Amino acid sequence: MKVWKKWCVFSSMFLQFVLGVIGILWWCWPQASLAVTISEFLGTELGRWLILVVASYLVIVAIFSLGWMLMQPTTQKVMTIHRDHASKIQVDQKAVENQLRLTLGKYDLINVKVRVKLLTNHQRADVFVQGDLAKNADLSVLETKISQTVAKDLKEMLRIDLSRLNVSLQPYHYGQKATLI
Amino acid sequence: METKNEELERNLTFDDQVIAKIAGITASQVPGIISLDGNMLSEFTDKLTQGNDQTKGIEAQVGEKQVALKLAVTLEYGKSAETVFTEVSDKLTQVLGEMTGLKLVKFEMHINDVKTREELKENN
Repeated sequence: MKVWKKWCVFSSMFLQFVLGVIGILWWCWPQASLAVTISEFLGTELGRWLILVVASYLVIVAIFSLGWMLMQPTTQKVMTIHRDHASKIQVDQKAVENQLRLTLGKYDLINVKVRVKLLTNHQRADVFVQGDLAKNADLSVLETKISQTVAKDLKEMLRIDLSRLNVSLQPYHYGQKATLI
Repeated sequence: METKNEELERNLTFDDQVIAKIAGITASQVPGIISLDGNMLSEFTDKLTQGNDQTKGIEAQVGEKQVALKLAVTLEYGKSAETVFTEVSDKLTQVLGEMTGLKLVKFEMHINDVKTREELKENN
């Protein structure tokens, strides 16, 4: 983390920390002399101005934090799949899952769900495929085909090696909701 | 009599937004990139402006001679990420060189999602 970011986090969080600690101490020891003194001070004109300044500061910090959050792109886990000196390609977990889900559309499967765990240090991925069979099929042949397709697709399209594949297929029951690819 | 040789000082500079716009237009012309993805705020403004924000999902850092770009994209299903990356990078280097004289020295492409064109139409 860069120094300016550390200072931003420190300045925005420190006051909240202090206020939080004061609040807890006040609740635990309401009759302590310091608590009484602070309570009396906050009732004065100067104390009310102090409350206004602190409250305004907290509102500004909240607005900046919300603004910063909105400015950041929404991502899941990210993996770098190719580097060329200063340039690189990164891929989001959601992109890998959608790539595989669309590829598996050519098989007689419905309600296909694909979950991917990216092993970022090794450029590999664990893949979990779940789906319902739309037709009678030889399961072992289908699983082999799916395994080959997933490994080939990951390697060719995204340069990711398949680490582990878990395929869970079950027959489609009549009346069951069907999500199509 | 003393003659004063005054030299004209010339400076051509570009705003980050200009470079981002050039990059946005160029990248969206490359086959394989079906959309550029921004943050929540830029996606919202894009919806309001009916998709006219061409700097969405692009971060540009511009120096005097060099430029660094970061693109967040949705890849078209069936296209190889590396091939698309190379094509975008080459095209951007060429266009930026011709239009601005700046050299692309750092290029990062972040693939946010993979979609088919039909899926993209449905989502919009």
